[in-house]
Amino acid sequence: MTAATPPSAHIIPLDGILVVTLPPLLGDSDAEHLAEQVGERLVAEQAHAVLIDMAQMRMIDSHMGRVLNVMASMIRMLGAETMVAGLRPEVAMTMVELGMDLGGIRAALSVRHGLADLRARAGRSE
Amino acid sequence: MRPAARPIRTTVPVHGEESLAAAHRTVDEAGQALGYGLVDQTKLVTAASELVRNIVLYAGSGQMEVEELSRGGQSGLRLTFTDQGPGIPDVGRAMQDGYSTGKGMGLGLPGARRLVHEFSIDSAAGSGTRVTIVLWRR
Amino acid sequence: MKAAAMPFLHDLAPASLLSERQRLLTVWRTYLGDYLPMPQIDHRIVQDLCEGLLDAFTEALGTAPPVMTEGLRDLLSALSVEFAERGLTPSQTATFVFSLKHVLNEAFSGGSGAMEDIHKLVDAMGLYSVDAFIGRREQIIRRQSQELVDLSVPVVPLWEGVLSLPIIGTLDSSRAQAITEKLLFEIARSGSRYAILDISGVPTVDTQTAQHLAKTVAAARLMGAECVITGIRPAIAQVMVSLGINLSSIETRFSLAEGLRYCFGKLNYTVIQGG
Repeated sequence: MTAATPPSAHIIPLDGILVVTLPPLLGDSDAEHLAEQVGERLVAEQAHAVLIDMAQMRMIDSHMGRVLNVMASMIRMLGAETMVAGLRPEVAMTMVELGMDLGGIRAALSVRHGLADLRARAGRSE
Repeated sequence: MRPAARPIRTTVPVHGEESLAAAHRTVDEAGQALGYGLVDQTKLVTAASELVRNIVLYAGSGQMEVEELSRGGQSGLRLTFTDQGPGIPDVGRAMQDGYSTGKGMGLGLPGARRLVHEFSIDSAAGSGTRVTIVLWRR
Repeated sequence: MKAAAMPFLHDLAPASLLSERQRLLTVWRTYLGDYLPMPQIDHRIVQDLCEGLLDAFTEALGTAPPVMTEGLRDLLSALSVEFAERGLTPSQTATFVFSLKHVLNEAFSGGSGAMEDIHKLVDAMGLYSVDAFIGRREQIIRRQSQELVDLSVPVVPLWEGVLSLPIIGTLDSSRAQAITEKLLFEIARSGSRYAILDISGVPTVDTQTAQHLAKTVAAARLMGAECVITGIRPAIAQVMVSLGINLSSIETRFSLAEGLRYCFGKLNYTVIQGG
């Protein structure tokens, strides 16, 4: 057994948007801390949106789905918007088959698409 | 005929959340050795994740067995999840979407069933649970 | 009775098979030429199969009672694969294996109680070869139907950011899965935000088909793409309503052109007539 700790999430603030990059597989304890970390950074950076980059994620089970939904609810309560980006086709198909639903979380094809979309919306609402 | 002569057969002990990563890796490697497509590979790893987590949540410990199957020229993997936990008093109800005793989304069992070709569950209150899933290679 | 026959089998049978190997092979090939002509298979391959099978069989008789060995299984699998690929039938495959009995009758002309055990093994070999044959043929059928599915799923880029997928024919579940996969991977590859699923070539839509469509749309949505379903003929719409199928959360348009117009609107494109 190797004691390698799985890589955790990276958070980068970018013009009022927090870009959260998730690793291929997120360990349970990292998943539990994710919402807390994101919430703290959101307030500190006064961000208006959180863009979660899922392009590396190889699997999303119902536990991970629940973590994402809880986090999105928290972000909404803090007055910001959540968007997921880059979900892989095989992961999306599996989530649908599993019966999972990301509620009202909007999705973008890639971080690039997501940033453009979020900036366009922010521009319109100003 | 498959050149790799030795059929896949391995057991992973489950004794807590840290076993999830080992279970993922084992199923991932076995699936790759068998040659699933990307979608089926993801479905199997996800189903295994749901069922290992069930063991962790409800029984604390148990095991996952991975075996290669071949039937009539078809090959696939059979995953068996066994625990000596409290068991499921009402299996029919546990197989319904959204039913949960409070710790999950309630998608574990019915969701895992939708991801694979064959699914069977054997459980009763007080006598542990055994869930078997099979995914054939298309 | 049986116990008494064993030493004979164990000690003598392989020896007689070994010493008369060449003669027995000739007997076998002559018999096959008379009773089981296989023009589809090169005679050298038949010869190799006969030699391999006789040798592996001789080896299997080295234990009492004789059992199926790994070597026999491999040979029978290879034989069945060959026969299945050349278009022979399962009964021709089994007949080939059973023709070994003719050779054995030659080898054991004296006859003995042990023949019963030997016959049992040959019967098991025949059944095994049929199973292996059918397995191989199913593989071939699956591969061919997969190829057919791939051919019948053309994902066509209509405009920058807009893909179209004309679905033609009945959507059974393996085809629906293949279509969904192809569309989603194409969406990811091309970075298209819109996909038009045109079902005007689908003869009927039942609950299961509608469910497949809804799942495809849901998965695309998780990826950040929107699907529009077009080509729902009035008759099909009526059937769907009476079946209680609800596609209300999905954007639908009557024709492919209307679908494209919807996507243009979303992309902020305006279509202007020139001149």
